[in-house]
Amino acid sequence: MILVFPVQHIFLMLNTLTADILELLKINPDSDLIVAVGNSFRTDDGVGPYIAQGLEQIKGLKLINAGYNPENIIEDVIKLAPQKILIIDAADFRGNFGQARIIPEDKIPQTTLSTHAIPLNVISGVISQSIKTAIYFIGIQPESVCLGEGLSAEVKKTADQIIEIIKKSLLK
Amino acid sequence: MSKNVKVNVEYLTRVEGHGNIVVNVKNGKLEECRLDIVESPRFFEGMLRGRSIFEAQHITSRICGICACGHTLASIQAAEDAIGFQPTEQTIKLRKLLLHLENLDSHILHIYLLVAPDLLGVKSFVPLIHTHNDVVRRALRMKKACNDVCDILVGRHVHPISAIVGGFTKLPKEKELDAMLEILESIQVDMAPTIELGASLKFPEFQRETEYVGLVNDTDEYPLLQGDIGSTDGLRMDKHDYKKITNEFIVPHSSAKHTKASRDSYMVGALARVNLNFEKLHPKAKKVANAIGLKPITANPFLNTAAQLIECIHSLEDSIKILKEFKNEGIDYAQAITVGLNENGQIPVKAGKGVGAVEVPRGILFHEYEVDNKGKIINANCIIPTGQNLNNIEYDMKKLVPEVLDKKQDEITLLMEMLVRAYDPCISCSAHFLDVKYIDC
Repeated sequence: MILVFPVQHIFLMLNTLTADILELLKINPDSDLIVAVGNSFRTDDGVGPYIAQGLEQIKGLKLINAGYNPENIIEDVIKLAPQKILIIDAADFRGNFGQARIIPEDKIPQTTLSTHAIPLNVISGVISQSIKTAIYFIGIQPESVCLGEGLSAEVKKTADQIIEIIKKSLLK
Repeated sequence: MSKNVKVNVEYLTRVEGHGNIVVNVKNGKLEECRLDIVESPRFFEGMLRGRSIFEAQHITSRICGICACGHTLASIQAAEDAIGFQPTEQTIKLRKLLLHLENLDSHILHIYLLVAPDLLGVKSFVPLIHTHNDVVRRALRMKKACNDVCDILVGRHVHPISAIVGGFTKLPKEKELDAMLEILESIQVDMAPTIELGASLKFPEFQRETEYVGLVNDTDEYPLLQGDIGSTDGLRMDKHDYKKITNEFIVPHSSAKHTKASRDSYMVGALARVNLNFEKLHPKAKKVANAIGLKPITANPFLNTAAQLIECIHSLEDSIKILKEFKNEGIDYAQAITVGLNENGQIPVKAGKGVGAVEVPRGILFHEYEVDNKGKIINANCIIPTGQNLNNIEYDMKKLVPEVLDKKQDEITLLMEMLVRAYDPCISCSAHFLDVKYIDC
């Protein structure tokens, strides 16, 4: 799934992870959950699953790789009842390739519901109506979401950074 | 009374693809009434030319993300028919299970997320998250369950991997049969409130007699995968004669061809199937149909959604029955087959023509392939259910508009939208473009 933002939400930023993102990436394995979203067969849209793969060996970390069907994880998330949910996905906010941004829930476009896609904000809405939790989205600007495997260099760099920061935060 | 009405819905929401509703009433006279289909051609039939029948199902599966299994099965059936291959009983049974799962999955999504908002008076299912969160969760839970069973059976919840010409590359193990049964039995728990919800929904009153077309057979089985083509007007013909039913023709406002059989138009889908084969439904499904007053022949297209609910019960119960039979009788794992592109000639191939006629969520789907003696596709034709329904939708619109002219414009617009949505159209899949002939000048 890729989030596409209308033009009025354009903010250009440097490709460094900002302080607020670094703060979000501090994960408490007892109470927090990471949800990775995206399609690994659509190049940079696979950034979420790539990060999930980088974290999956960490014991005790609550992690769900939702792939391209995030609606299918709702009941699992509700059962886990995390205090914080960090959703990581590709997001086209016309930023620099690989740039990461915190996406406020109300800024996630309500993509028209068809038979083929359920918008991410609907999924977060169902979860937040069911359990008391704080849901945060981190979007990473893709260079390409064309069919294909592997991430572009800038997106991979950001993904690797996020993996390392989360790992380090867990060691503390 | 609204003497002048102008409806221009561009584009209709809560359907797949892009279609516009155009209605123009001037001084009480209906001047325009159309469902414009503005989708681009898909070229799948062109893509199939020159490809092996052993890869056709993987290509045609991509026609639709909802009916991927249906296209897979119609493609396999057409290919096997063309080369004269007869699948085993076990293979046929597994294919029936696959079809049930897709129908169940698609119907649940349509009933809960695409139609229920209209009947509950909200603009989409998003507000239902706050007012009916348990209902939304139930819908997504049931949908996930179907996805999970499909994943076990064919390796993916969409675009199946293991269903191929000749059979299945992988057959479910004992513990996988148990897992599928457990998941489907969990849906049974959610089906009870689903029926309650369905029974509580008030559908618009509207009647228009039309011809209903679908698979028919002479057995006691509700036909979804095999049978002749039949209609409520008494037509019955072999699937190879499907073009005598579809009679496709071009209209200027649609990139999908229209169809007609005995009358000006016909309808396919859940309501057509229930109208044609009501007595063959699972007893539990029939019981619910009787409880909500759905009986053949129902001529209210809005009740296609109710027919989908009835089919959900049928598909769920029949899926469980199939799995229990496999549990009791066992699976012959020697039937697992890996063909690839048939490089080793594992399946004998000959030149011929074949037709697949399969009931998918939105109605009867036809694939026809002409293949050479190496199994290469020379010609392909795919006629999708929504394409067959478009003409019928327009005739419904033309009858409905004059009957509701006393309503406000917004109400008329909503009714038109609801009518089209009732057919659960998959508009982008329906595009079937012109046969272009190039003439040297």
